[in-house]
Amino acid sequence: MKYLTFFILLAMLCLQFVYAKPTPPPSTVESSIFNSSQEHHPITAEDVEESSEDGEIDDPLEPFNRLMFMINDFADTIVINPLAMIYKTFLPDFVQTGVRNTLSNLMEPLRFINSSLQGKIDDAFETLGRFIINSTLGILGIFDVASDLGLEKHEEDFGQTLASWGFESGPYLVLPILGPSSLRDALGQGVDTLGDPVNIVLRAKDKENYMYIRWSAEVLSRRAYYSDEIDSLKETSIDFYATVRSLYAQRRAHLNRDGAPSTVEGPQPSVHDEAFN
Amino acid sequence: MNSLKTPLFALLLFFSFINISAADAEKDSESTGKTTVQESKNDDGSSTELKEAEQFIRELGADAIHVLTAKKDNPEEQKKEFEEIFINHFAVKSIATFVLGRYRRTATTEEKKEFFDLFKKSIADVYTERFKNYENESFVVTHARPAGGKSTLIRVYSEIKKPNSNPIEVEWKVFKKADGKFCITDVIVEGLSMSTTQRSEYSSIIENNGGSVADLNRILKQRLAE
Repeated sequence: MKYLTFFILLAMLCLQFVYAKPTPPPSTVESSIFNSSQEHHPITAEDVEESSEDGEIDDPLEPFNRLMFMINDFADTIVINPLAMIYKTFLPDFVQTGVRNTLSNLMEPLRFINSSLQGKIDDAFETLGRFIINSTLGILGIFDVASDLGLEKHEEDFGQTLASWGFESGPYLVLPILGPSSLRDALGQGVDTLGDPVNIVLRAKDKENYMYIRWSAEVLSRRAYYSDEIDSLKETSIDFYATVRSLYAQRRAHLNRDGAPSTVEGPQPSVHDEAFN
Repeated sequence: MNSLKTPLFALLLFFSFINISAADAEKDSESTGKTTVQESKNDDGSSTELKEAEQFIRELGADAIHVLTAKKDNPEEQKKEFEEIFINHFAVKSIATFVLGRYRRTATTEEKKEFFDLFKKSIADVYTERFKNYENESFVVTHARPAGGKSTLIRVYSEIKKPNSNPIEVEWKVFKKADGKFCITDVIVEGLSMSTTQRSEYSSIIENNGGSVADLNRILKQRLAE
């Protein structure tokens, strides 16, 4: 208890950073487009054809990955999804939200480290502030009080840290049970598991069981939370493997940009094949 | 622990100093950034176009939610109305061109024509199915801004709020057609683009099934017949 004052002071310091932080500056893109509209060159169908892709990732191990994906999908169908459905159906919503918040709160120390390693000091302090507030006022992280106070969550992991240091993603990898990844992100996942302060504490106290409980809860909670989205993706995809691969690549690109809009152009107005008239 | 306190505080104070000066610097750049945007907005009236684009998405959202809730007991009719919304509000030709990617070049006109028909039929299903999850949720358009780069597109940002969930950010890429109506080229949910995903999937199907658009057509036809 004698550290309480210390923690409160720390939380206040963190809050001060956050509130002192200006609203995100308008991107340089924004100011440049208005100018560019005057000297605008028409985009052709060939440009659209060549436009670089967020959703693309090298997949030299495709046969192995497809096999792994099939095995994971099978495990999902017979074990993970049924358990997640039981969890989703029988636990009240507020309990599920509480579990999600608690698990997310346990990730904050790791996010703090990764934000710091990426040199994002503002985000690091915001994350630290979140952890302190949610662990205390939020009763061990069950309630996400920090978000209500305007402290934003920053999803950072070591894969993103490696990306910010200039490491390319490398080939796409489907890991057993863990699912879609890449060489860089798999390495990141390994480092995160070893370096996670929560895991370090648990290991030091010989409470490794809790690590497995936490991990299982994570899988279950996430599967239940995204069940509608996963089901409809499965339902509408012809090549579910390719869809998931693309979504994974886009998701990682999105996280690496920290939510800034993609520069990938996508479909363009009035640019289309003559055959479609 | 006591011995740790002092250096920790020193470190914190040090960071707070860096922070405040960084924040000031950012603020300065922000204010200058804003004025340039303001000026150019007055130049070409983009501001009203942005507002119109926001309004377009707001109305589309209301229509879609209406179809989702009012026609809940009649999935056939729901699907039909959704298809209509899709054809009327999406730049289907542009999207079809984009999703074919580089395979467009080697395809014959016949193949492309067939693909376009199949695409129109299957894509409405995809959008309907993926947005079905969002019935009964509140839909709020937050802001709009030009897409940037070479593009003349506008990005309209919106949020879908589900009870007991984090809000989902949905970004709409739209443009104004010559007739003054708006048209959507892409929907991006939490950074995941529908068009990009579709393109990746189609190119994977083509690569794994013979390498031509004719092969893709064959598979799309099979799928629609199911």
